[in-house]
Amino acid sequence: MIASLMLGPVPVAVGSPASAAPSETAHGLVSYVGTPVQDESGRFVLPRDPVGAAEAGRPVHKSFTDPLRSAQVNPPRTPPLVPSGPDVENCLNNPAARSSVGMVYNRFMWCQRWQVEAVRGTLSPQPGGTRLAAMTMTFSAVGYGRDDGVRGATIFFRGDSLSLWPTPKGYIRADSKLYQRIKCVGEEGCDTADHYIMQPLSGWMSRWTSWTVSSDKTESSAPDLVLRHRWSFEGYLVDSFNVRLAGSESDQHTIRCDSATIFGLRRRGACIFDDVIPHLQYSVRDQRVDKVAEHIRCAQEAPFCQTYPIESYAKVIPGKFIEGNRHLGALHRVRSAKTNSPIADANRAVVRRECARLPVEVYDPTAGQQCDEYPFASTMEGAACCQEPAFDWDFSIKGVTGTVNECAGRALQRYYNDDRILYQQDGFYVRITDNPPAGDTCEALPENPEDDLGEPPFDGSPTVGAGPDVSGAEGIPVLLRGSASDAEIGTPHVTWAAFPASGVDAGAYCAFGDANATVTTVTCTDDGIWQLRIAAWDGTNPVVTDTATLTLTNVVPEIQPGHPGPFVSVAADDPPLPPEGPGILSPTPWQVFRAGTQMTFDAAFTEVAENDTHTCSTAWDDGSTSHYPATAADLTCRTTHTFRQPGMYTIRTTVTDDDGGQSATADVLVIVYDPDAGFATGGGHLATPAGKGQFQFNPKYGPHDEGPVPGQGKVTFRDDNLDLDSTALEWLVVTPDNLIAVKGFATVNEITGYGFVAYGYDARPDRFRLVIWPLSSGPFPHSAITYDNRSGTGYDLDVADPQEIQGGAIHIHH
Amino acid sequence: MANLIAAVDGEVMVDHGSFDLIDDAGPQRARIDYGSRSEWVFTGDNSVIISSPSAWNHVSVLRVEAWDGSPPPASGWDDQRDATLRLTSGTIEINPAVDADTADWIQVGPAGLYRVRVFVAGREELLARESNPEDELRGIERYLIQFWPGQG
Repeated sequence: MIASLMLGPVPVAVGSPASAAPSETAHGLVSYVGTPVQDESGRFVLPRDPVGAAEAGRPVHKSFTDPLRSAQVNPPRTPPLVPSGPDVENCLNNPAARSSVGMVYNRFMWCQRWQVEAVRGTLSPQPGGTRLAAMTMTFSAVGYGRDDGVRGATIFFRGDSLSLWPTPKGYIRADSKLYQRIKCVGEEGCDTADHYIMQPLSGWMSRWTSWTVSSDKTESSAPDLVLRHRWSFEGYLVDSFNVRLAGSESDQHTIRCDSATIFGLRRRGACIFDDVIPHLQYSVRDQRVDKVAEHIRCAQEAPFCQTYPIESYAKVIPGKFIEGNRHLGALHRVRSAKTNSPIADANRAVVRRECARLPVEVYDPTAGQQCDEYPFASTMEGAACCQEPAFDWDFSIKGVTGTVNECAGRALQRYYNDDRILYQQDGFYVRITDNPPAGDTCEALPENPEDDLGEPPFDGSPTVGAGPDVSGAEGIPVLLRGSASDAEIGTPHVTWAAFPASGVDAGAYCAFGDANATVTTVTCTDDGIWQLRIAAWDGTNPVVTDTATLTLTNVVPEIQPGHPGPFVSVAADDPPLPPEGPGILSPTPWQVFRAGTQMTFDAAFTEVAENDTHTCSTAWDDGSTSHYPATAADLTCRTTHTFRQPGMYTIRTTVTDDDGGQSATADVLVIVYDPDAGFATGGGHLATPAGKGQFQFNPKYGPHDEGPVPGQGKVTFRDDNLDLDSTALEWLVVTPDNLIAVKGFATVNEITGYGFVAYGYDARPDRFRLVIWPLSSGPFPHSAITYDNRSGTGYDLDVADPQEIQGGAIHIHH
Repeated sequence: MANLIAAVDGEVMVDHGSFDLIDDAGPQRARIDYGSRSEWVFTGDNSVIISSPSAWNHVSVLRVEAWDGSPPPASGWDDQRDATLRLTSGTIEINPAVDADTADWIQVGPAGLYRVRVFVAGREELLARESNPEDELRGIERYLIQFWPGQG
C-alpha cells in the first residue's frame, strides 16, 4: 500500500536486472571463427566446429577460383594505399570469400568477407552462466602480396556492419574498444610492426585499416631465402565498462616470402599467398593457344590419348591440375636461361631429336608448324626426365601452328612471373579449360594504356610532420595536428603509432581517432609520457617518419552525481543491464532497513583510463569505514554492511585510482529501524513565523510489529496557517541516544498528498522539527518543501538540528 | 656528333621465338602482332619485344648501346627497325623473364622518351641450321640495339 504511493526511484529488489551482475564473475570472448558458446561452467569458449574452418594442419588448398585475368605482371606489384579495383570486388563478392579462411584470389591477393564476434556474460548464478551482451561485426578484409623487392604483405580490414545486443544500453556499445593486430607465426623472421590497433567499434566501420607483415631474409638458409609464415587476425575487446573480453585469433593464412633473383632487378624480394595450388591455364577455346591446349590435354590423358613419340608401354605424363592435389605429379620449374641450364638444355635436345623423327602428319615445319613439347622444357619433368631415383616421367611432342606455340610460350613466361614460380621448389600444374579467353593470353598488358608519350614524372619522397608536442589527460582524446604531403599523390598514406616513454603503467595503450589521418585524436589508457610517431608512405619511396611527445596527466574516477535515477524498463528477454551512469545504485535514498539485517552497497563509477585499477572507501556513518577493491567487471564499488543500531545514516563513498587520483564523494541517506528499540511521545508548542505551533505525536511499534510501519500512533501539527494530520506512518526510528524520527503521509489543511518527517530530541531543552513536502515531488523531501521549521539543515537525524520547544515535553521510551 | 655513353655485350636466350628488353620501373606495353611476320620489333612504354623467325629456342649474340644522340649508321647488318618508347627509369633489363639472374642490364639514361634502333643479322643461317637437331643454335643470330634520347 505504501509502495503504491512512491514516485521516482524505487528500491531495487534482489535479483532484478540492476543487481544481477554485481556478484558474478564477468568474462567474455572475441571470436573470428563463429559464435562463442558457454560451457557447463558458463565460460565462453570457441565453437567446437568453427564455421568454414580450414583442415587440420597446414591447409593445402583454400577456396579458389580461376582468375583468368591474373595479377598483372608489370610493373612489380606494390600494395595500394587502400583496396580498390575490379579484382577486389570480384574477390569479395565471390562466395568462397565468405568463410573463416577466406579466398586466395591469386598469389598476390587474398580476401575475406566474414565476421568477428564478441560476447560478455557471467559464470553464474544459473548453471551455464548468463549471456549479458554480444557484438557481431561483419567485415571485409583484403591482403596484398608484393614482388617489388620488399619481403612483405599488407592486410586491410574494414567493418561493414555492426550488430549489438542488447541495444543501446548493454555492456558492449559502439564505443567499446576493439583491439586488432596481425599475429604472425611459423618460421622465424616474421614481424608485424604495427602491433595492436585500437578503435571504438564504430571507428572500424566503413573505412580501411591496414597492417604490414614483413619477412627477414636473414633468418632463412633455404634456396632463394624462402620463409613461410602464417598470419592471422588477433583481437580482443574492452567493453564500455573497461572489462577486457578475452581475445582469440582467426584461422591462419600462409605467405611465402623469398629473395629470388630470377625475376629481374626490381623483384628480388617478395611475399605471396601460398594457400593455393599454383597452376597455369590454357583454354582450348582460345584460338591463340588452342592447339597447344589440345596437345597438353591429350598428353595429360595418356595413355588414353595417343601421344608421340609412340612407346611400347603406357605413358604417364605429369602436371595435370586436380582440385585439392598439391604434391603428386607436379611440374617443377628449372633454369632455362642462356647459360648454365643443363636440365632445360637436355630437355630441348631430346625434343629436337625426337621431333625430327615425327611423321609429317604429326609435325610439318614446312606448313609453319613448330614442335611443341609437354611437359615444358623449362621443367624438371621435361623430355629428358629423369634419372633414378626420380620417377621417369614420359613426354609428348606434336606440331602446332608457330604463332600458337609462340603465344603459349610467352604465356608460360608470364605465368612464371605472375605466380612467382621459383626454380625447383614450387610445384605447379597445368589446367586445360573450356572457358572462353579473358584478356590477352600471350602478353600481360597493363590496363588503361596511355597514348600520350609525355615525360614520365619524377616521384619524390613524401614529407611528414608529427606537429608540436602535446599534452592532455589520460582517457581523454588529445588533438594531433600532423601533416603529410606528396608531390605526386597529394596526401600519402599515413599511420600513427604511440609508444610508452616514461611513467606509463604496463599494459597501457593509445588509440587514434583515425590512425590513418594526419589530423586526428589520440586517447591513451594511462597517464605518463608517450612518444607519438607518424609514418608516411607514397607507395613508392621509403617510409618517412616524425615524432612528437605526448604528456598525459591522471584523471580521477567519477562517482557522482549521486543516484542516476530510475532504471529503464527491462524487457523479459533482455539480459541484466549495466549501470547507466555513475552514482550509488544501492541502497536508494531513504531506503529502509531493519537493524541487524545485511545491506548491499553498490555504487557505479566511471573511469576514462582503461588501464587504471581502483580502491573504494565507504564510511558508514556508524563509526566504521570499509576499504575494498572495486569490482572491475562493471566499474562498481560493491560490498555489504549491517547496521546494528537504529538511526538515520549518511553513507559516504569515494573511489581512488592506482595513480592516487580520488573521486569526489557520493552519499546516500538510509533509514534503520528497530521495532524493539522503544517508542516516543511528545506534545507541546514552539515559535513559528505564524506565531505559535502546536505539535503532538505518539508513534509506537506494537508487541508483534515487524516494521517498518509502526502499528500505532499519530502526528499532528497546527499553527495559524497550517493544519497537519498524519494519515499513515511509514517508519519510526528511536535511537539509543534519545533521538526519534518518524516519517509518514498526511493531510495538510485537509488536503491529501503530503509527506512528512518529524524529528524529536529528548534533551534539555527538548527539540522538535517538522518537514512537509508534496508527494508529487517525490517520496522524500528534496526540492519542493511545503514547511520546514529548520530549513537549510540536513535530513539525517544526527544533523537535523530540531528547534527548541517553548512548552511541553518529548519523551523517549526504551 | 653523338657520343656512345654506355654499352653491354652479351647473349640472350630467344625463347619461343622472342625476347624482351624492359624497364621494370613502369608498365610495359609492347605487344607482338602475331599476324604480321614482316614486323619483328614491337615497342610500347618500357618495353621492346624482338621476335625471331626460328622455330627453336636459341641463344643470340647481342650488343646494347646507349647514345646521347642519334648514332651514326652501322654496317654489316641484314635488317633494321626504328621505334620510339617511353622509359620510366632508363634502366633496361635484357630478357629477365628468361635469362633470370644472368640477364644483362644497362642504364641508357634518365627517365624519358627514347628512340630505339634494332639491327639483326644471321637469321638465314639460323634457319638453315636449325633443321639439324645436332647443330647447336648459339651465336648464329646477332643483334645491335641502340637507344638515344628523343622523339621520332
